[in-house]
Amino acid sequence: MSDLENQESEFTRLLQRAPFDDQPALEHRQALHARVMAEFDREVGPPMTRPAWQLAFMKGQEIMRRPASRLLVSAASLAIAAVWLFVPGGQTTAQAFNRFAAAVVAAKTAHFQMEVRVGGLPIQQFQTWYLAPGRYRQETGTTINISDMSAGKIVSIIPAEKKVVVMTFKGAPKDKISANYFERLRELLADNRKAKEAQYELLGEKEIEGKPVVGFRYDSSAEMVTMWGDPATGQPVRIESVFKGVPRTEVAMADFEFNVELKESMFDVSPPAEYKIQSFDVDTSESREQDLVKAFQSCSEIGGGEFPATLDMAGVTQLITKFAMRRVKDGTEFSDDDFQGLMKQSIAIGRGFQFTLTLPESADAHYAGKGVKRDEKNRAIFWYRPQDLKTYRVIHADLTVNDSETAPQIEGAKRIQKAGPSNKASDK
Amino acid sequence: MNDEPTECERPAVEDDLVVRAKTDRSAFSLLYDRYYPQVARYCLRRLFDRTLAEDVVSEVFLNVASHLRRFTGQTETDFRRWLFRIATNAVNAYLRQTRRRQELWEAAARSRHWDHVGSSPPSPADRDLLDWPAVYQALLELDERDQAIVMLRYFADCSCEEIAAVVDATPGAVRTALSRTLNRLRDRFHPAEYSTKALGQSETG
Repeated sequence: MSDLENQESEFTRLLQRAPFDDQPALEHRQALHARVMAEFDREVGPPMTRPAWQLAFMKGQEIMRRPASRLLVSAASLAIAAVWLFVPGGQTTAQAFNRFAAAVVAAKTAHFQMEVRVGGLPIQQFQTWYLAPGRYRQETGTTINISDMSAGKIVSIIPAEKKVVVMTFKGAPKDKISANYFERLRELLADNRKAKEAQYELLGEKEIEGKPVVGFRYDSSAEMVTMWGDPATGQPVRIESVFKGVPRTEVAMADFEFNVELKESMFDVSPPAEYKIQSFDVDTSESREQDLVKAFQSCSEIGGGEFPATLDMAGVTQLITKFAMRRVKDGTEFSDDDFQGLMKQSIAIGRGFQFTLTLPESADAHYAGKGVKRDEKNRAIFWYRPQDLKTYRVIHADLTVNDSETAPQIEGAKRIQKAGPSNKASDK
Repeated sequence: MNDEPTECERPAVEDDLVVRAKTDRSAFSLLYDRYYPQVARYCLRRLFDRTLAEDVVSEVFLNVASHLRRFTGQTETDFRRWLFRIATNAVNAYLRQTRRRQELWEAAARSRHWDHVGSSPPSPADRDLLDWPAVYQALLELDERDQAIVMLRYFADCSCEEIAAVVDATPGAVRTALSRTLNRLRDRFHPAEYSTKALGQSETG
């Protein structure tokens, strides 16, 4: 044996006895898997068939085999997403790309493909139909979502379950509720008076599916829109949007057909006969600090006393997965009442987290709830500085709130940032 | 430890897994499942703090997911070298912040009161064999290259050749660095005492 081998032999024996827990945690492994696969999808391309909620939980197959678990997680996630995505994020209006934009703004009807990626979850794909004013039908393969913003209503029809989830938006003027991404885009493109020339960037030419297209980028305070259009016809071919809010949201629309013939019945929000109906009201009035406190309370209840690792969809769905795991482990099936309760909590979470959307950068908002439990005393989990004040409002793990002259100093706290095209939450 | 094929060098069961993983999500998912435990253990051993280690592991795999398409390697051996290079750079970047290093020392010191969760708990005799927090601190005091070499060798089961590719050195330089580091640790922790105890317990236990 060489000297090195002898030394190594001794050292290996020594280290093998070292009292240190180096076993990876299953929970982190599963949660990270969802994020990593979402990143993979973003880079390589979307999965072809499965809806996002299934993909997010593919790693938890053993717990997700039970239909009740699947439905629980998917529906609750849907509820949070609905609150986040269909309520205005306070963004200002912006500008048009003239010729191509006109086709979008003037459309009475439209049919297109849509891909949506929200805050760490895998890409979702929809076939989408639009009927002016403000009516949509989106099909994912397993679920049909129909929204009618003039009625303030979204219905999600799940044929396999013979079930309908109805969400009614209350608390804000209906014309203030952005129906979905296409509607937001139309609003953005329609209001072209405030745009400055400097906000536009010519991207040049390329080919999309063999067709020569020309691209423009428009960067507003609310979102960055990249539009590729066919110079021969003046029609948009692909439109990509990155919304500068939390959670980071990216939307791509393609394969446009405008002013196609569509039947009114496709947009009927009446639940189909013989379907079980579950209804929820969604408060769309402006979120306040107390709503965020309620959201943290709901999170800790769903999470068995824990707060989410991150203030986004991925963080909350991780808690919901844990909740489902506990119920499966207990051998408890989910009753309709359980489902209703979880949906209400999910809606409360979505509403509360919306409050963070309203905070400007100057609020210096931070989240430090990762790994923290509700019963920890004197542990700040969120803080921000209200406008025009020098003191911070600090929310603690026990859900008490107080004022502080200085921001808490907690290692690992994540600054809440408006998600632009390339920025990320920064470490403290 | 000998130079038999290590875990990282064992022939890949599926030779084209890495190639497929560049475009196929199920293949990529398999790669993740296969390498997460190794990377996590490596980071835990280098950082001594679970929360920090998990943050770094997250950074590593998100980085891999972002760049795998542009990765030019074809085999799992290539992939593993690339993966541990990313992990090593991420850990080193973390350790370069002195403030954090101080916190890691404190975490290492706390590990005396380690609460067993995972693998077989050490016997009281093993716990008393050495001043383990002092050993951990000694490891943390190594420069980042030597620390990476030791940890890759003993906690990621890498050969000297593989470590050389990760830390951008020759295999000979890695062997020299290992020998020098082990000598230093042996001198510091009185090898006669610990090796006799360790060997004795190994034989009787």
